[in-house]
Amino acid sequence: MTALLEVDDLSVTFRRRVGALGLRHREMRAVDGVSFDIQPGETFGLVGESGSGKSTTGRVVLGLLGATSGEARFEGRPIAEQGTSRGDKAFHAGVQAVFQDPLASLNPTMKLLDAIAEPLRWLTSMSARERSHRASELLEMVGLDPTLGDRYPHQISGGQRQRVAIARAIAPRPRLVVCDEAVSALDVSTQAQIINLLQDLQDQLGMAYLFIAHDLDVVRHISDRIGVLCRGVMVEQGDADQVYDAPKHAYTRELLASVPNPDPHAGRQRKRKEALS
Amino acid sequence: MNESWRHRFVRDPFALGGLILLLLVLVAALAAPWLAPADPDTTSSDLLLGPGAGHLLGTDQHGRDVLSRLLFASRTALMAGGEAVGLALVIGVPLGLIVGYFGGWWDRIGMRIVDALMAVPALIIAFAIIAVLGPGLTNAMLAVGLLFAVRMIRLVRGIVLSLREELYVDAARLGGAPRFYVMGRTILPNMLGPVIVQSALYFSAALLIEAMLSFLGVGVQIPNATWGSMLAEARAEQFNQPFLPFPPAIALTVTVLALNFVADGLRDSLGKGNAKSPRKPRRRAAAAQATVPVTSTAGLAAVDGAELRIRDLVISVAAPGGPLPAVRGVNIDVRRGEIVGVVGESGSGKSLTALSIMGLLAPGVSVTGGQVLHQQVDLASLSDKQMRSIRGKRIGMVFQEPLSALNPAMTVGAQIAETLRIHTKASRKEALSRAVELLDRVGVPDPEARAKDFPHQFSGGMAQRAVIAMALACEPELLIADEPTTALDVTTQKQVLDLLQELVDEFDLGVLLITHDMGIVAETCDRAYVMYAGQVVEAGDVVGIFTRPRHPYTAALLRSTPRGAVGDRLPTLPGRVPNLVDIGAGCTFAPRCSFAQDSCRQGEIPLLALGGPSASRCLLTDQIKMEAV
Amino acid sequence: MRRIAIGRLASAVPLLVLVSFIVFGAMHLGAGSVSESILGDGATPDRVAALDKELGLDRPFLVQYADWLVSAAQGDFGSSYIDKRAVADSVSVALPVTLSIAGGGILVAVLLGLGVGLVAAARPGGWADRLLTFLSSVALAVPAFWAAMLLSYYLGVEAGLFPASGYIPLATDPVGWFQCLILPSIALGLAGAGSIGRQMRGALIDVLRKDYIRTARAKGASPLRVLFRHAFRNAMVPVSTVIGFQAATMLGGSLVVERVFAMPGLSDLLVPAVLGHDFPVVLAIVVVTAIAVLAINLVIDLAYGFFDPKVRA
Ligand SMILES: Nc1ncnc2c1ncn2[C@@H]1O[C@H](COP(=O)(O)OP(=O)(O)OP(=O)(O)O)[C@@H](O)[C@H]1O
Ligand code: SF4
Ligand SMILES: [Mg+2]
Repeated sequence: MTALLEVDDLSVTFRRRVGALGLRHREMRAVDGVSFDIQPGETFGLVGESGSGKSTTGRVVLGLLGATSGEARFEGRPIAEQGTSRGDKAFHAGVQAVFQDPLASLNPTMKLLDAIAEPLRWLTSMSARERSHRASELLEMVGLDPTLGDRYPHQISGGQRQRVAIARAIAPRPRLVVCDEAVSALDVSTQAQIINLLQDLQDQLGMAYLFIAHDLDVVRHISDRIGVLCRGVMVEQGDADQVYDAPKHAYTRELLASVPNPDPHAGRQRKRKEALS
Repeated sequence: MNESWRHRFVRDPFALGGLILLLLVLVAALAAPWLAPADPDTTSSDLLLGPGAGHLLGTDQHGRDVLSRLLFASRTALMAGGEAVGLALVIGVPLGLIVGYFGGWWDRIGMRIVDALMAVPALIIAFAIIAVLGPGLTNAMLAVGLLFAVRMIRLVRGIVLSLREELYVDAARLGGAPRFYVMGRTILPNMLGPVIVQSALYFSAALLIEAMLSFLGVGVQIPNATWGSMLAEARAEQFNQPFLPFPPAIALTVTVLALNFVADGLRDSLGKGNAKSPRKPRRRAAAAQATVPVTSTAGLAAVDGAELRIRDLVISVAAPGGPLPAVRGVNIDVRRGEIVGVVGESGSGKSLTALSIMGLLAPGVSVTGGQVLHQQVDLASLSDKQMRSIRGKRIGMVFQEPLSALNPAMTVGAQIAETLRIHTKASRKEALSRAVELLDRVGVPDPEARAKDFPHQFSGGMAQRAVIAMALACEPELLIADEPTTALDVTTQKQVLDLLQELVDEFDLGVLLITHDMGIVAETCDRAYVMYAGQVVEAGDVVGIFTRPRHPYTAALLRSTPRGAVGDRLPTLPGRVPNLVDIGAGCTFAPRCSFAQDSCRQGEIPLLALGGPSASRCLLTDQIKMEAV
Repeated sequence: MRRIAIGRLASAVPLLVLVSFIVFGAMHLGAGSVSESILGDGATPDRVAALDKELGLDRPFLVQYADWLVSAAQGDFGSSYIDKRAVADSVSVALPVTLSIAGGGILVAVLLGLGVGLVAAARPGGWADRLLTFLSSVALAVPAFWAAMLLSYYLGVEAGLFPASGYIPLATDPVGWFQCLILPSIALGLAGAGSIGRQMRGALIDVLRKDYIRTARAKGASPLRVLFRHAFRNAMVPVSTVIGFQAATMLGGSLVVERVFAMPGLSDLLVPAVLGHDFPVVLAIVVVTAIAVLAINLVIDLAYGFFDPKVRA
């Protein structure tokens, strides 16, 4: 069986024009020789600190950005040959995305129902009526009242917006959804709701996730396998439990040790008691 | 987009007035043949009359009726403006869209040409175009239209370039939408606002330029009347009839003013405005207290020897229907040498509480009840000057976004030194060398050199260290830290929190640490307050709160973090934090509480003292068993 | 800083070539026969051909342009089709007049505008703010030449406070030069002051909402210190762009104002040239004003670097 997504020695270099005339370039290697793959139906978590190249990797997978070297293949075909600039319908129906800021990822001038139905217009042969019917179904699937479909993005709450963004992403029945910090902007209680929703939808529809986040606990909870990025380099990857419980790389260990531990006995109280005794 | 911008527009008296004036000008222009008392071009022997019964606005040097000429001139003015703006839109918008969206060579070449044309004053470019086309109103407006088209290309391109980066444009492309659809349906509607505003401004500029060109004699040709040519003629007779310039000049000025007001109103109401004056806070707290319950707290035992005591604090925010209390009777104590956490979800009132201590609430937000006592002194009773001597000297503050908390135009060293310069007699040099020491203390490497750097040369973690140095420069007794690490990476966060704990011990500092992360509370705090919808719902020492939460909300918060979760599904809290307007009687948490009973919704729930610093705002505190980690 | 200046200067040259090429091209290809319109009714094919030859208009377009460019680079802008005077001479006499007025206008606009912005933003929504904001809007709407007419007539002629018309060169009489510029500068600067004042107010209010202002207040800084040490410099970053734009506009506006005050500036050359297809004159004025605008932009860029350290790096 071939993998759903193969990322093979991927590097992305940004060139920024510098100087008054913009004639010189400064190079920034955002992603440096990253390789991993995702099997159908599994969740691959990508963690790392800000600037480690997580989102850049995600954008290459989505076909929004070209690789400088190496390549990413979806279902065996190079994404560079089918990405957004090519407008390959089969590719877009297969790979969708949920971004961090749901307000920014929904067109403020479009009603929610239309926003959800939009990909169906380009990626399926449904009639306008079928599309809006399907969009209502999708709203229900993500746990929203279909009557919300008449509203604009700014008229609903952050958690609801993220549900709409998810409905839009799953509308064309993709095999892979890239979730780029999809729950990072949400409150703890809303975050838990959205994580559960993503897992439920995966159980129902069988799609795979590339789950990008900086919150290590969230990534561990949702992922089957995990890759750790540090300054563009994948320093470690493996099964979620193995990476967390027996990290091999020093950076992974440092990262894990830095996460605040909700066990008060391990915190300041303990240090205090130690100091007193 | 929706109806609310229209409401905002009509509520703005200037915008509405401008719109009405414009409509009047439009009516005058359309109905000129019927409104005008005389033929605008018929001469008579009544030369240069002042305003009077026969001729309301007098006559000019050829004996023509000024009012009639004015009315007909308004037609020319509107047509001229319309032509120019129409041309600018027809050429500028599509070209700007294409150049901006596709970029590449077209963009580079197009923008060079635009830059070149913009390097020459508009009026002179208009002259050059007229030199080619020949004089006359149509040619003049063609010239002005082309001129604006160039500017419009630049404007539209700029907007497109920024919209292209928007996530929703990516989302549309991921949805398989073709390019022209993305341009037309996704980008175009979102730039309509600025383009409309700009069109109104171009319209008024076109009127002015037309008038100038006619005034100089290269625009409309006499005897046709425009406001500019009327002014030019009036100038020649200014000594004989000083009144003559006024009618056309006032007509022109008022029309331009009206257009500008409409443009301003549109800009503000479409939400892109930058300088709408903030409303002053209205002191109508009594009315608000009647609708939303504000708790007075008896249950919370005072902590002995507290440096800072917040008592029954109520903070109201301005809202369309009158001020709403966002913080409702909060009590918090902080002693020196301890770190006190305030934890809660977004909107629970944490930041408002913190800012109110420093007297830094934004306009529209005000303390409407309770007290903030610093060493027994009610801070509200202090004068502005006395309050300033507390800020930075006795109480320091650290904010969430370190990079935006630093002034981008001042070196970091100078900003740290400023605290000392304000509160001590230190000379500039002394203050700067102390700033270097402080940077060293908070762990900024190579402090001597970094003190001379500007904030944009700092990473987030380093910047937060600098902000901490700034807050501690005068060795205050208290530090208020509002989510000091939320914007930082975990590894940096740990370093900053460790530093904070060191400083507490070193300076015997009392810290009020605001966060939404239960992990941070557990790891760094001695005591904590859990806030929900503007109230403290649970208070206690950290070990107690985490091992045996006494309020269902605290328990749920602890359970819904992925780390605390057992098994595959995360236990969730249904619903979300209520809006301020939705808060009703009874327990605020009741709609989301799995233990809620009828009695919970009856009256105000008091904060129940549980011995020591512990308290819980739940009727069933003692009856239900809550599970935490 | 120096790099910005050099970069600007380096990019100014191609820009000027491009401007002149566009305008030259438009005039020579866009308009009908120049000679025909100069000769007017007396145009016969022979005389047109003769004049074409005399003016060099019979050569290929690109040759004409290259010729013009080479001479222009040496300061020779050809001679007027109409009165045959060397364009460089007449422009160099008229330019100082226009630049003096424009400079005075810019000065008035900047000083008045920044002051208005600071006072208005100090207490947004207060009566001073509302009054000043309204006055700024009015100033912006009043056409400069009407302001000029009013000032010249009422303060100049009627009240006799300042010279109502005429120009005295700086070299002849510095005091007289200054006095004769007072009214034109005010007339020209008012609209710019309105615009700059409004922008300054807006920028200040924006900046005053920034986090670092809150930080400054949390340090115990007084309101004046916050306004001048923290807000002003940052607000100047966007405002300096507006000042540059206004300066260019005022350069154009001074052509109208100098007319009202009967000053022998560029408009005296430009208006007849435009009406008479006197292309060498028009072209020279376009290029000269473009140079002036680029010079203003350079100053603005340097100011930008001063106010915004990010640009400096
Ligand atoms: N300047 C303001 N004007 C009007 N309402 C405000 C203002 N500042 C805060 N509010 C409202 O007051 C309530 C409490 O806000 P606050 O900023 O204190 O919450 P918070 O607990 O700090 O949240 P977060 O975790 O998002 O920082 C919210 O409902 C918020 O919308
Ligand atoms: S008072 Fe009732 S509704 Fe409120 S938290 Fe306690 S049990 Fe739940
Ligand atoms: Mg906050």
